[in-house]
Amino acid sequence: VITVILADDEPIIVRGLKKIINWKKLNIQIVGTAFNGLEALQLVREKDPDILISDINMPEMTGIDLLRALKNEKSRTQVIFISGFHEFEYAHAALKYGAKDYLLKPINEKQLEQAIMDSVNRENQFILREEHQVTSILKINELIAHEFPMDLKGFFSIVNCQIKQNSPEILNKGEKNILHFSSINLIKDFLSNLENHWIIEENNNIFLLLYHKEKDSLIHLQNFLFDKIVNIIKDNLNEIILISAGKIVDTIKSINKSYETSLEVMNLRYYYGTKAVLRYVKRVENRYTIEDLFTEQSKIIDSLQKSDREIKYKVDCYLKVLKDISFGKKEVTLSYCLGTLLSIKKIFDDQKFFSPTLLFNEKEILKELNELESFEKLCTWMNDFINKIFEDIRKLQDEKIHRDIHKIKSYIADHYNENIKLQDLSNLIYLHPNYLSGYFKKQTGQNFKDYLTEIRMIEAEKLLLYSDLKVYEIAEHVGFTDYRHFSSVFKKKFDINPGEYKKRI
Amino acid sequence: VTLGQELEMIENYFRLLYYRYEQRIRLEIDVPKNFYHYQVLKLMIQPIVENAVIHGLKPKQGKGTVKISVSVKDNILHIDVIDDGVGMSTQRLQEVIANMNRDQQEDNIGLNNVKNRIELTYGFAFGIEINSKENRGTLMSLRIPVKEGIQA
Repeated sequence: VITVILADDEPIIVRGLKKIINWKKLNIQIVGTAFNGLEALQLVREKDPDILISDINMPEMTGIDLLRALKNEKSRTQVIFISGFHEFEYAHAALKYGAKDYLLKPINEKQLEQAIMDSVNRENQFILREEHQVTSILKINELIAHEFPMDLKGFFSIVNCQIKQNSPEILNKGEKNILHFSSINLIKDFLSNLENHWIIEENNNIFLLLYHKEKDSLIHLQNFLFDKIVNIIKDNLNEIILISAGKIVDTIKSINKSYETSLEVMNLRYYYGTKAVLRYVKRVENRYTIEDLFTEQSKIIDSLQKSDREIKYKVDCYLKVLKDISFGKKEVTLSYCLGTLLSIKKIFDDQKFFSPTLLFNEKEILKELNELESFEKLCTWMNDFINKIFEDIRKLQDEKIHRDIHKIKSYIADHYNENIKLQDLSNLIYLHPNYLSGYFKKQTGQNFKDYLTEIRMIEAEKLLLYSDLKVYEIAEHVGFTDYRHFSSVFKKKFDINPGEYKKRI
Repeated sequence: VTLGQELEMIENYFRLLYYRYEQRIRLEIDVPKNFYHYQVLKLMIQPIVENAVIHGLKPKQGKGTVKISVSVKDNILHIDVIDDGVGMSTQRLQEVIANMNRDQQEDNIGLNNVKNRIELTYGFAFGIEINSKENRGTLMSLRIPVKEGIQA
């Protein structure tokens, strides 16, 4: 039985939670309810439940303080937060302090069920991994004690191999055992003709201890073995074997380091990459801070607003910082991504920019992000998504510009015979007069004054051709107050005086 | 008999097979010594190993391994016999299970016999479970209650 405590300052939500979930079916027992943070803390201390489902914002003690207190006491209870949308950033921060999940109100039964099952499974996985780590490292040390002269000089490395099922078929436990058994026998058979290796089996893990006098030769040996093993498993079983090579160490005493790094690479494949064979590379840790991430985020938003083609570069910079500050914590990586997308959404919503790409549901997008199998894929996804937003916004801006210019031109067409002031046009498109001529010139390639003059000259020519009006009347008609000025402008354009032009017809 | 005695008998039997099959088959026994005094039925595991060799490893090209592992959980003795032989298709596996469950039959006498004896001795809650995958191998799991042996 899984034990749960519910905490929320609104009794109606606690009652609701009790009702919407079929707790019995999930084999869960509610061992207590609390109506504020302090009460929740005391209850957790007293009952030691598996899971605490708590509102993030409660009187007496906030969710984050509660979480911090529990972590300090090394409580084993996993915490799932419930938060309102406006508290999202807050919930986001909670993940950093080790909350297992957060759910946005209103709570949906499926989501809550999923979150509970996830944290239960995560707990099991955690226990399994711990146990298996202890026994396999014991086995390795035992092997070394029995078979290795402690003064053996050379280079050593531990390699972790795990079968990753390729076929979509779901195997039961027995079938998984068969797969593991046949794959380890294939590897053993292959290795039986070779030297400088030892095999350590552990449940569904295979560890290889490799040795060579020269470092280069050891790397060479690794490459040869990895290549063969991948092919043997592919050819015989049509499955994929994942191989993670730990750090190469130069004394057998440091073999634990190699062992730990091989597991790190295996467990953090999300960050190391999707290739079947991966090697440990030393990571320079935390060069960046959360502030850097927010800076990069603002740069992205800035680029989007300016329709700046550098956007891809900005996104790449952002992802680089993201990887650095959230390495190894997929939940944190994903919540930052979601946070950034939500910030972009909010800003463009406020500016009344309608981008179809931004009409996403945050739970669905989080699910989509979660299904991406590596950080690499996440990068591609983020780049594509932000690029889509970029295109949406650019299109909208294009349309807006088009409309603005059209408005200006039609206004001129109707009013060219008047004394048009910049302020009149500014009022049309809500742009400050100081920027208007620049804007017009940038979009049409023509000076606003020149454009107006051109329209007036075309009209003047028409009137000269088809009307009986006198030249000074025409000047007035097309918006000139000074006849001589009109005349000189006309001459400049047609190389002839308006008076002579009229006579020639 | 005790589990230890049955395993010793299997090792002797396997030695014969080892030479008959030109040393391309191997037996692994992964059983903690402190389980050796548990009571099992006589000739309960041996026919299962024989089955694994004849139907699993014999038709297979190259090397093959049979492994016996035993674990105890909730006072039940789990005896797993796994081989990396040719395995069975889903259809063939269904037939084998059906044959095993039939009262009278000719094929797979060993399997049927072992299952009936387990059920007669320990009740219908115990028996044999079979898993198999074509070209990968077969896993036969025997379940019987834990009983301490009488003799030393």
